[in-house]
Amino acid sequence: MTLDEILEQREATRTGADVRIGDFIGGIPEALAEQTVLFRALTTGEIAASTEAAVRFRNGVLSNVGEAGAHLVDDPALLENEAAVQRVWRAVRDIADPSRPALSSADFLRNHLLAEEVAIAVDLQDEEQLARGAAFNLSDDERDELLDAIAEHGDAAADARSRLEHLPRRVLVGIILELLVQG
Amino acid sequence: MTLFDEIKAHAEKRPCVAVQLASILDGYDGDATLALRALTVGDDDGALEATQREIRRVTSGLPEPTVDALVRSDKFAGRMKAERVFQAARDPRDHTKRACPSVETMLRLLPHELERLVSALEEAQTPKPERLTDAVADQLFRDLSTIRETPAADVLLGKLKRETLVDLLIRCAAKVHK
Repeated sequence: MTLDEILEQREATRTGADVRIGDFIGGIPEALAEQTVLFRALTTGEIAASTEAAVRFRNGVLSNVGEAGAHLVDDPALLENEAAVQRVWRAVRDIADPSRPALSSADFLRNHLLAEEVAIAVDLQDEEQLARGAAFNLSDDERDELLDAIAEHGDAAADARSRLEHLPRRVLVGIILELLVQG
Repeated sequence: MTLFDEIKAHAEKRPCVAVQLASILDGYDGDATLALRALTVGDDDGALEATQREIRRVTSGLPEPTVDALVRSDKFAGRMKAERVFQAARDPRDHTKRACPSVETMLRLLPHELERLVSALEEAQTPKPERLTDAVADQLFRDLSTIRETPAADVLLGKLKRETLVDLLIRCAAKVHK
């Protein structure tokens, strides 16, 4: 099986975290607030596509406002807000069918959600993104726990070697340098 | 045989590092592999050039300070990694062929999966010494202890194989916590 085929197959079943709609959209009827959607970690390409769509949106807005909007040209908020909208739109999927976005379009999201609600949704998506990469990164507590286990049991510490083998080189080098300084 | 022919023949035979996709991709437990070949200077330049083309295409119409801010904020770092890994990825059955038709495949990886491939590529990039023996590990520990707060420590660690780093880390943790 090639990498292409594996990724193609995974695309249809990629999951994420179930999130109550009421957790990021306020003031809606209880029944709707209790419904859930899927917050999915974004792929590298989806993150790039969010940036690209935000740039297109910004340029479109500015071309429509002409001279009157000249003061907006250097306003980073125009790009940042839209990048957040685009990212949330790509991450929020239909719980019954994760291959479909839960919201009809980024336009819909932009026009119906408050900036604060989009910001909360971005935080929720960040959590999912970090959780997906958790096996790859170590929190300070996890690192201390792992080092204590290694100190006590050496190589025999449960999963120690396999957890370390998944870490990026820069993290391994950083821990070694820290240990050398402590020693 | 001319120098040109020699280099060309050598380049085609450059060894690849075999990567188990199960150790890279979340949720995949099959036995498919990917071969990664060290990048030549030209491959690396090609990846950089492709990323720059993409930055120019995407940011067309943005003022210079905004483009600078976007580039500095790492918005395109994933693209660069995807381009480098795409250049390095070879078909495991025939290393003369690319593993996938375009960089789009690499863009379908989650960012941390791409990081894992970049780490694996670092292994392919520089041949590194084999696993540590006790004597070598002790010597390395002593050497590193004397240069631990200098940039040389970072340089020395950068020359070690991942497996060696893991061995060394386990030994350091055991020594320091004793």
